[in-house]
Amino acid sequence: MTRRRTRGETGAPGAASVSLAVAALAIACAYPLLLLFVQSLFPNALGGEWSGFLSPYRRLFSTPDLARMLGHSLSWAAATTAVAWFFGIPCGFLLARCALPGKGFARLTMLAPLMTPPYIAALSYVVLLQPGGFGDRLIGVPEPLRDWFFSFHGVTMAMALASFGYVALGVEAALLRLPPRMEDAALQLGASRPRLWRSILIPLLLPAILNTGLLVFLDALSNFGVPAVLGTRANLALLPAEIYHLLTSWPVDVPVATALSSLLCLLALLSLRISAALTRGSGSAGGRAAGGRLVKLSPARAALAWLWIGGLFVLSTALPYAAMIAMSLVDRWTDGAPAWTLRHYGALFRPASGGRAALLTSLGLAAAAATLCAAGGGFVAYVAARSGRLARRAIEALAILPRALPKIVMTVGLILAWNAPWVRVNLYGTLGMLLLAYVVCYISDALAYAGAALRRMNPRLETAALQLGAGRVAVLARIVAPQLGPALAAAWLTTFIVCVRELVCSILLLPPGVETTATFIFNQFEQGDLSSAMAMATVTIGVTATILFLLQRTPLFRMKGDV
Amino acid sequence: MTRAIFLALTAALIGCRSRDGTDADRLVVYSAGPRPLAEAICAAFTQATGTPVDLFQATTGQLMARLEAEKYRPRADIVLFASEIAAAALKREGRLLRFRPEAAERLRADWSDPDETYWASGAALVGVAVRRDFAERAPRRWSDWFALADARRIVMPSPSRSGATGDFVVTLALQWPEETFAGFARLRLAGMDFAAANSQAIGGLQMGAHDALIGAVDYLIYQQIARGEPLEMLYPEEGAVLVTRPIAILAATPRPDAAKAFVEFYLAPESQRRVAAAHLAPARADVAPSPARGAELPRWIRADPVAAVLRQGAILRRFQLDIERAASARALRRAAGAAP
Repeated sequence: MTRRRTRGETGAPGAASVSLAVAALAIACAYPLLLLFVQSLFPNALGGEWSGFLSPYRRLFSTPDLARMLGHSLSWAAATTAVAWFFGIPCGFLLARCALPGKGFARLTMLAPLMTPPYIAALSYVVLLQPGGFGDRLIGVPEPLRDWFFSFHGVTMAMALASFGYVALGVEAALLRLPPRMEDAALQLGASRPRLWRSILIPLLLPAILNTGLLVFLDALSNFGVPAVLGTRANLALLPAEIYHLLTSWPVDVPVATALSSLLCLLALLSLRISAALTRGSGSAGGRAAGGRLVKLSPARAALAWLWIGGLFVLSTALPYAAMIAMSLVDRWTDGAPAWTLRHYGALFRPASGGRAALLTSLGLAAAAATLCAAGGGFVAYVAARSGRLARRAIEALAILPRALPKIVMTVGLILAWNAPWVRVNLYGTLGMLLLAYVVCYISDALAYAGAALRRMNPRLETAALQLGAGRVAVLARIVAPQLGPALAAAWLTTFIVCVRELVCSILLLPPGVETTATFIFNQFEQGDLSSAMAMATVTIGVTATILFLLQRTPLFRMKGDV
Repeated sequence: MTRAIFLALTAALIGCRSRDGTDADRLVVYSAGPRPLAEAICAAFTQATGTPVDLFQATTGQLMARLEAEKYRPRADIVLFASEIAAAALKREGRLLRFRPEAAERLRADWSDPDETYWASGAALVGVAVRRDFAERAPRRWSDWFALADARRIVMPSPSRSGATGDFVVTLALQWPEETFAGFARLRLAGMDFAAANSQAIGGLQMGAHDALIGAVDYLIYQQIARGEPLEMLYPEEGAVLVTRPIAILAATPRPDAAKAFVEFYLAPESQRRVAAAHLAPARADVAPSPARGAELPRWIRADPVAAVLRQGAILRRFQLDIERAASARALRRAAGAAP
């Protein structure tokens, strides 16, 4: 693609666009990251002292268990990604290419696990599988299954089930934009199905597979909640838990926590480069997109497809949700048997409880953040894809780093950055601050989806428009944006969902007296009120699912690939 | 679509119109611990004095992280921790304001800082919570708990994740260094389970997954008992661990007078009765604890805050490596054999 381009009136964005994208990323992502990095080099730099150069890194290597934690974190994240691919890629194919009855519902089932806050899902599995839990009461959980689940395997499985939706949606969006010409040619020339996958589909899908895999990998690498709840039995020593410990127990050690986080950053950059190197060979395939043409499935195959999707739905959603809903209905436990009630739901919407306000705050913030991410991420991805290699790498790295850091580190960085004595804008302590944090932490979704779509888009159309005298804004609005539509819609959905459930940034950055659903749930937990917490989680998921269901009926989100 | 995005953006910007965060006369309170309690006392304070309060609520650990991130431009006037160690750590760095409230004489002896930088607003005791049907068989002494042959139905919140349990382990380890580590290693060997948080452990207790919760914070258990849950709180005879909840004024506050008034208000009988109603032990000796708790405090031990600040990191690290993450049963047996 780059080779074919000539200087002059090409599809390359103008200097103004490039500087706008770089400046926005520099202020939003690079500035807090830089402050953190400076602190890890000079622990008291912000206090005006330049002593103790590199001391955090020296102390870092005296951390006991460091190699073990690093190894655990890496293998856990890699295993999670592999399992998520295994679950997600077939789902993406079924959604994009097969005439599957009930497809809208199937797509919702991919999104449902993303809606659940990971620690709620983990806790639901605990409630389900622990000795004397719901599972034991109903059927009796076999001991080997229990041992298997509360180990490395179970933690990996729980995390993969929570995030395979990313892969499924990414692969679906990519397949929808894939022109069928090459497939048709290969099939007519007598290629077998496996050959077709190996030589054509996988190489063309590679950007989408790797980009979404990267998201899953980074989420697992920086996730704290799932291993914290499930991993205590599994005895998994992971880096984010160590970082969390450094930041929340005395002595709070921001420099060492940051130094430790820079290891995670290194891993993230490494995986970004590897994934970029792997996708270099796979280019675009010109031609019109597949549109509405679908593979007919025989009844047996359709049943098999639904068994796959349905099985995943049961494991990832139905079981934990059943446990969650059951918990929210428990009045009290007598002799280990629950008495049922609806009062926790009623209590949520009493004006004094603040439940309704928290829900509205969450939905508003998440919608705003998702819109900003989709628009901003799409623009940045476009600029990155159509500019030189160096600029592209810098932009990609900047946008991906906040995702690789544990949220608490990123939040501390944002506080350092926007509460600094030299900052004159009064952003810190307002809802705007939380919005910025969401955008910074989750803009990588939009970039990953849009980046994969852009790699398959040929810049010739843009060049043609420019040479015919269209302005750059018109090119962006009338050529790039419509083609990116499905990818950005998918990014909007996942960003919206994860922002509704986001906990760590919310707790540390919310202005006084304002709550989101996640902090509401967390506070109920802290007070030992599991049932109210689960009731709020149920309502939040219900409302989010309804919104997604309604959005799917609008043309933009219906994910048709035709331009 | 461009128009849709533009409209959504505009709506978002209007919707997120910021409120002004640096009002000169607003008191900023960072509080850990029961949220309804802090909210009620802050509201009562505003009603009594006319001073509006911005309450920021999180766990002690999260508050520490936020205070550290705001070190170069402090925002808070008052901190209310659920752990004395946190307050002692801030005192050590010279970040607390010395102040003696009028209520000082009425407060329980040696719950507060002798140097008058922080004052106990109340306290919780950490002991063992059990299911009522297990209470009769439950051991009465820490040494008997540590000697249990089968601990598979016993759970403990992870001390590196739950602040109160962390304080509990540090206090026991300072009081009886070798017995504590050997004892927990033995319990772990006998099958004791770790939970990520207090509430998760309490949930397991209610559901019958566990019989006993070691390191239970008593006021949370009394709340459950008041709701009718069949639980009981036990305080082993050697002494339960007292965890005070200190209130302090940050030295950097631009509003010392309002802050002092707030501390006075928190220690006044009216607020202390609210503390008691939340099942915490009130700091004032002349305010009665809740009926569920009972008038008399059991025998308790308390960590020397100076030693605790210095040793906390090492103790929790040792617990994490030797007990929670012990690589093998043999390593645990070695740790368990360190004492008779």
